Amino acid sequence: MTETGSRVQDRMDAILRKVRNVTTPLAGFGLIAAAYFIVGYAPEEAQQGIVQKIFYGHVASAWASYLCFFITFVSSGLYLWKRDRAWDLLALSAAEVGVVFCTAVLLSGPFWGKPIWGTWWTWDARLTTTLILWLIYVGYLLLRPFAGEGERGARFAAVVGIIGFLDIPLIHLSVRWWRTLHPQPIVMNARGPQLPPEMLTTLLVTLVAFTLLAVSFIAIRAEIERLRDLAAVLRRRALREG
Amino acid sequence: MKNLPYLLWAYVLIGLLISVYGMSLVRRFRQVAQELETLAAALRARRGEAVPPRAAPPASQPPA
Repeated sequence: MTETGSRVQDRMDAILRKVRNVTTPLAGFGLIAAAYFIVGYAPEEAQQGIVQKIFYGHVASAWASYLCFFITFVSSGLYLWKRDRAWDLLALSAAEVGVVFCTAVLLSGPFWGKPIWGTWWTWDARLTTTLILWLIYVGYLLLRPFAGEGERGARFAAVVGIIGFLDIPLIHLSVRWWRTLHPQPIVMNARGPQLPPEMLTTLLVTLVAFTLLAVSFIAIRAEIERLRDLAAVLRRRALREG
Repeated sequence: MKNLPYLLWAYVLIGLLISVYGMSLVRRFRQVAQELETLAAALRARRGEAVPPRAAPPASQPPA
């Protein structure tokens, strides 16, 4: 381990930089393609009409947030095991991006709920467990500055990052375990996707675009944190030499 | 089509959220990169090292 980072950190830096360079332009093209598919290709659903098209952005945001929280979960576990700052940094970056996409889920849902269910919000099992997930990871982000600099804060955050992820299987199963207004899973179910091909294609394009965007955000966010670490090292060096 | 405003608002909010977050990343990136440059320059100046020259401008462009 050097003053500016470990070997894992150096390898992670190189990988994240490559990932960022590839995913950022692809995410841009992906979002344009997703907009085209949602507006011009996907048909209107017979019963719900045009408002059903919220589905694509809503589900893709949910998927992107789950992916981010999964990265936080794995990185937090690796941090507790290896105590390498590189994993803590990746966990923090993914949690922040995950909160952004989870906010998108919670914001877009009510605009679908109001015309279809007749209410902006209901304390339904899936909605409530999703709100709990958002609160857990907002708590994770708030915990960081308050739990202190260095290893102590990172250790607390890693524990919250792991426990928080346990809510995701609960969200997925909530529509089966409890009576709920929220629709049953129509893509990830035992009988395979229950969507017309045009809707499924549009959903897949949106999922790919949001995944690329989430990965690009995580890579950029991790690089910012890494540069902040380097700035802190330089500041200490300047103080020593001053 | 009567529910079109709901659809528009949902995507406007998703778009706004993603754009604002993206711009905040760009701002934080620039801020920390600038801080690093300032710190590195201060350290070099303190050690009496020469400041490395900036990359030469392209031939078609006159030096400032």
